[in-house]
Amino acid sequence: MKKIISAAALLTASLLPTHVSAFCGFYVAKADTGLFNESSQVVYARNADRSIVTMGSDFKGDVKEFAMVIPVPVVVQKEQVKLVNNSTIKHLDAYTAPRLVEYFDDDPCMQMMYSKATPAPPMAAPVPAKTRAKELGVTIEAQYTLGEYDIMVLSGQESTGLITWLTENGYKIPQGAEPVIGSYLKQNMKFFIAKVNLKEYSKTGFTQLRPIQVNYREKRFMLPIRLGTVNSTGKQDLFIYALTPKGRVETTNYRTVKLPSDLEIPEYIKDKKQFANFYRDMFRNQVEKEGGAVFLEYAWDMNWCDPCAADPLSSKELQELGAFWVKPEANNMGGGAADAYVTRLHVRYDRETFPEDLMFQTTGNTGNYQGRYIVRHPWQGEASCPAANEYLNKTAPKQQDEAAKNLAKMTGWNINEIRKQLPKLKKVASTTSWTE
Amino acid sequence: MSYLSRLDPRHYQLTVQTTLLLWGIWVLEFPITWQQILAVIGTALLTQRLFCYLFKLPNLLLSTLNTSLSVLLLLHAQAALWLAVAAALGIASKFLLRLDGKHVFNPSNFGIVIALLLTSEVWAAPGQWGHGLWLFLLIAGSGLVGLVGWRTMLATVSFLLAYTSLLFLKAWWLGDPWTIPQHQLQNGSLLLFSFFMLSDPKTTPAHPLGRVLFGVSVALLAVWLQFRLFLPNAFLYALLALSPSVFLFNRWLNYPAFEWSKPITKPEETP
Repeated sequence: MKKIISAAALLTASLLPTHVSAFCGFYVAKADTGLFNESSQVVYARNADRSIVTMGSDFKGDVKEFAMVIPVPVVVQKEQVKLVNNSTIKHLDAYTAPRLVEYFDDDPCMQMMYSKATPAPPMAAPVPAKTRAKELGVTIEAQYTLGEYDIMVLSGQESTGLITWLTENGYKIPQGAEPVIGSYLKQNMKFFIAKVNLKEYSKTGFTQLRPIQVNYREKRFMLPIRLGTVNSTGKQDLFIYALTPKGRVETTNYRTVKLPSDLEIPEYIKDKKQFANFYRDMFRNQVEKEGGAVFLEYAWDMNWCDPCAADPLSSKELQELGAFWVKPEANNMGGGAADAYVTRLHVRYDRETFPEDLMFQTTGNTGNYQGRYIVRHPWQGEASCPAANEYLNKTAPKQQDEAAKNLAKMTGWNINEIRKQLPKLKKVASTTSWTE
Repeated sequence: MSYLSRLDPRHYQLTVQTTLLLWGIWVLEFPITWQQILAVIGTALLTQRLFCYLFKLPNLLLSTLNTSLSVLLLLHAQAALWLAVAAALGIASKFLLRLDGKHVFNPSNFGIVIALLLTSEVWAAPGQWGHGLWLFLLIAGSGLVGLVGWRTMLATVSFLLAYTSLLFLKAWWLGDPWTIPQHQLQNGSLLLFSFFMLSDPKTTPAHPLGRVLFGVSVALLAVWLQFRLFLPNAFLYALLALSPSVFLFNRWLNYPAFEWSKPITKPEETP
């Protein structure tokens, strides 16, 4: 019933006996990043030593207050930076989000009744005085305005000078950042800083700031997270969507763990709010269990999905997100873009559990994985054969209990509380005779 | 003690490796299939058998199994083919790449690194052990030191001391908290490499001083590869690159070569 079959298998389903009609269930809901407050999102396209990193922006305050300070391994010039549409990242989020699917049990008396498999639809800042910078041992390596942002790339000899410069120029640097900035400078990292240029922003007509994308060549396949842990305001959520030509991405200095998936959970979780609660608590529970691990939420070839939480991204969208190797004509086949593989990683980090920056590697693993949860609707019709008796009295209650246990195990919720929410299942007298 | 001294350290190694493999598959969800296990062990045994027949040498079952399990624990691939190739390359290197009558490379190290260089279909996953298992590995590794004697394990001990010092030195220079080098050291692959690959007495210098110098050189090169060239699994490459220098150490420091059949505990402790 739950066997995952490939797109090719789906297309040829009509040639095969009806058994293959079992597929991944009907898609009902997704758990996108909106569930997690204060989360950040990064799209990291990587091919050989080229990195294209897009930093998703969920900035909701006054744009005047917006300031971004990010360590980068090289000086990033204007032609290496571009702005991306928020909607493209949202699409990638929706496509890769953990999903809920549902099955409807059939009347056990109606043999060989199969639901018809539906294949996935066709896929379709004011310029500071350079002299002051020099006094403080800070070098402005590059400076430009791009769209609504004033951007600078700084290098420095020591952290105190750089912090003084940043503070004088209106960047609020949290207490305790000094050693971290110093460490990055010694590792020959530069600082990419951005502020909103209000005049340019009013010209763009956008109501939300657009994500910034930087593009550079560098052997290091890493994401600096240490600055984010300086403000010990608790744990933060980070979503990384890694795009590669072929294989899955994993962390080399932390364990990459698959979230529990493909498990049945009770029917009432189908409610959107309940599913959100379920996913949040399941994630929290897994974080507590696994400690400093990075969680895999999705890993899939971008040509297809099954079931789809959203259509696969088009070649144009993938290219916009940095997958420069994707050929534009790939769309002509009626499928999504070829040659792109996405890995969605979810990290909940703080200084204690994630002392080091995240280091990655691309692996040869092209296997598919998705966070997928199933609600099964039991058949509750009139029993007209012994099989229905068996189903109503044994199979359905057993399935319901298993689903409740799965839910309790994944989320840490109280099993008795879960059982209270389960609908009462129909039972029949076992003495009923079916012989006439 | 008498039992311990009679126990071949390769049996001990095999026990630890098997435990780790089972733990990895059942608890840590390593992407290892039974087909891969069969392919790797089968290919290694066949290759060993073939070369023993060609070179008219006795078959060494234990070492072959050690090599197979090292490949399975440290290297991953989707299909079994490349893992089998790595195992075959490792075993073949024992017979074909020899200097002064000794094989140059640790067989699993050779097989793993050459496979990594040849294809992107395989990968080594240094993060896969998480940080929960390192204590077990440290204890298991220390058990090996107790079993074969610290002299035999000098390359491992000096490597670990040098590597640890370098990581702490780096953190001190960068002004990083100690949790960073600690985290880097609590790495299952690193300990597995140190205790069950670098410890191979046949492919490390015979003289104790040579072993110490060799271990330190591997640590220096590994740190350079890891933090200057940003190479993941740097220690595997460092060992491979430096293995050809072992014969120079042996010519310089004349010392009887290690034999598995000879007593492996410290001579004074042998009853």
